[in-house]
Amino acid sequence: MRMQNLWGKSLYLILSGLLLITLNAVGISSASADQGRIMYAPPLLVLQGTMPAMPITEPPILTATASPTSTPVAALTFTGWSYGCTNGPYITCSAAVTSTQTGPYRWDFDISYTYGDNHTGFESNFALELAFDTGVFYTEVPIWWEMVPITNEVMPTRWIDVAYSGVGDLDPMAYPTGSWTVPSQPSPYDTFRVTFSRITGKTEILTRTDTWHLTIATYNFIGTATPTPTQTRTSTPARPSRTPTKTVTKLPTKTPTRTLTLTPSRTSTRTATLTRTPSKTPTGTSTKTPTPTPTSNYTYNRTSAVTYANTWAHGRNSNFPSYGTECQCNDCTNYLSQVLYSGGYPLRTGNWDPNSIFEWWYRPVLLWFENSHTWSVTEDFNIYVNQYPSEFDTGVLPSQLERGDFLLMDLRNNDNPDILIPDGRPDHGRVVIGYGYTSTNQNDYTNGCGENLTVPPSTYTLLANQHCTDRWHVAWDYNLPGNANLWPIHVK
Amino acid sequence: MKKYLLFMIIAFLLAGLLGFSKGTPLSRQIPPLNKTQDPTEAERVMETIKRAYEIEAEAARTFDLEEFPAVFINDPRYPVDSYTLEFIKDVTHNPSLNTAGYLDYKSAYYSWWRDGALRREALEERAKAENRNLTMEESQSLVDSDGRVAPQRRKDPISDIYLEFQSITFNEDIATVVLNDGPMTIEMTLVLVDGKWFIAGYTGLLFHP
Repeated sequence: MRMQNLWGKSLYLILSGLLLITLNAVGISSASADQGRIMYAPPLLVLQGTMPAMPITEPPILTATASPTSTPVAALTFTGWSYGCTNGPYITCSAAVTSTQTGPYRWDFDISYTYGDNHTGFESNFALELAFDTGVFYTEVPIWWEMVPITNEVMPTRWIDVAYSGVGDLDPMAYPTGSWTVPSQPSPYDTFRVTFSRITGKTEILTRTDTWHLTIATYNFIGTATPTPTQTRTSTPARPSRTPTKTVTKLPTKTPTRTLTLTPSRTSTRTATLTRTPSKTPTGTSTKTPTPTPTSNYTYNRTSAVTYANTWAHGRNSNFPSYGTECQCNDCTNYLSQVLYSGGYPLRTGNWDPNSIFEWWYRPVLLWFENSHTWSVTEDFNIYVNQYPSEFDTGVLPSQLERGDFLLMDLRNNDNPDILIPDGRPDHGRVVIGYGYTSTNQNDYTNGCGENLTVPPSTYTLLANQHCTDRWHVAWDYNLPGNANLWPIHVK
Repeated sequence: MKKYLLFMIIAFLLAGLLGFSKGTPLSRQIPPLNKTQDPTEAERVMETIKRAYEIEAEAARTFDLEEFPAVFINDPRYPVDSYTLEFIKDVTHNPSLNTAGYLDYKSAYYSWWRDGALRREALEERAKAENRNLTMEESQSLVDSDGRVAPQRRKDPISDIYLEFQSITFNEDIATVVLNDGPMTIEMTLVLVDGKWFIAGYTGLLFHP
């Protein structure tokens, strides 16, 4: 279902505004002059400070030893990235990051950034930050990294810090490979950030684009071959040699495997009560290029997915976006996405385009979250899964669904949710839990607005959870009319 | 500086309240329960509604729409809302359509569903014959130009139809019925034509899936 989260968004706007005002007014920057070290930098805040360019140094020879399973991390989660430029007059400042989760403990990135200034009397500082969650607390977590230049070879200065201490914990990394340990942090702090920055000198008039391949993992992968994804990656370049070279390696261009043209015949907008732009443009022709980033090796862990679904059936996890509770609630697909993600299905970030029907992601931004429409809007989630038949089977029957699968349904008009007349597009979703006895808890049978519904007799059947109205272990077809249009989704 | 801060805070507060205050009401006032004056007539009304749900449940599996005119009707006094009209125009490829009734809507919905389901079944049959899954192109072809994804037909057994009637109000040849059908509480308008009740209008009151 789609609906705005009134208070959440208002609070977000107010707090964001106040934060920015405060920072600007009192002159607090996200960096300090502490030896030119970038301190804790919230995403999207402009970074300031001066940092010397680091010399190129040959990487040390490291030997792969540790195994992924030796780390205490449940799964390394990439939660988002941001960038910024300061000390203008910079003339260009942009970045692009393509992320690929190469197994539960490893992420591979293709990073491209362009920056420069046009003044000999000023310096311009570019910085890019990647944020991760370890998923563990009170435990040190080892981190290994490797950064390989693809075009240009000037090694940027890099920093790693943690959210809890808010202090840069490393000296600038001089080597393109290395390791570090995330210090023990109390719950709920499990975030660490990797920041890269480059600065143009005062005598520099420079516009340049650097591209890098970066790997971050919680095990020592260095010196090992890059795992071969089960499907061909066409959006990311082949990993080059680790040895820096002055030969410019041209990035392979993204080759769209298919162009989907959506030509809506309608001219009306779908924003009557929505805060999010629909995935299809109401007017004109929208040519969407699929982000050809098939997911890498992953195994959908149904036990993890269902455990998460049961844990949060009546709650909201503050580590994810929330689309309301009780009467003002449109959290059903957001809940589904969290379950899918918790089962190990990786984010598909692509170009971080929230409108793309080929991407599926969320990420923290300032005090709130941003997510793709496919993450939170039921019909867009449905369109997304139809783009990847190798990952989802939409041709199964409800009775064939397994635990951790999903069931979407059409109950009302998506253009105007006040109109409870189906319009051929799903607007609600449930998580399949597996077979068992239905709940007899009154909390699972309310109308979400304070009124109790009749608790049906407990029966052994296929169970489902859902948000809005929040229900735990109800029959998969509870409250569903026999004519409802259903979209079963089996995760392969 | 203080004035500037105060001004900005007020501006953000106003922007927050004004810019994001279009909440979607999930509920409207439900009419109080009314005692019907004619129990026999009320039973006939309820029977029509039950029959309509049965016919729809059957149609969701067979796409047999022949029985629809037996329970649904187009009444010019109760045209569908503009959003539902847009849906009908979309799926019937009839952009010049100016008005439509409830029977039109039901026919359009199930015709669209039937066409999509049959297309899906044809693709899946072919893939099965070739011992493969749907290709990405085939799967994407199930998403039409309006972003609708062709679903499959219902194949699960028809379960007992749950209807909780809350009120029935008569006004000559018009009956207004409030009922809970499971995921929502709705208000149906039925009209009496040639001694028989037909569903002519439909409004959602509460959404509680």
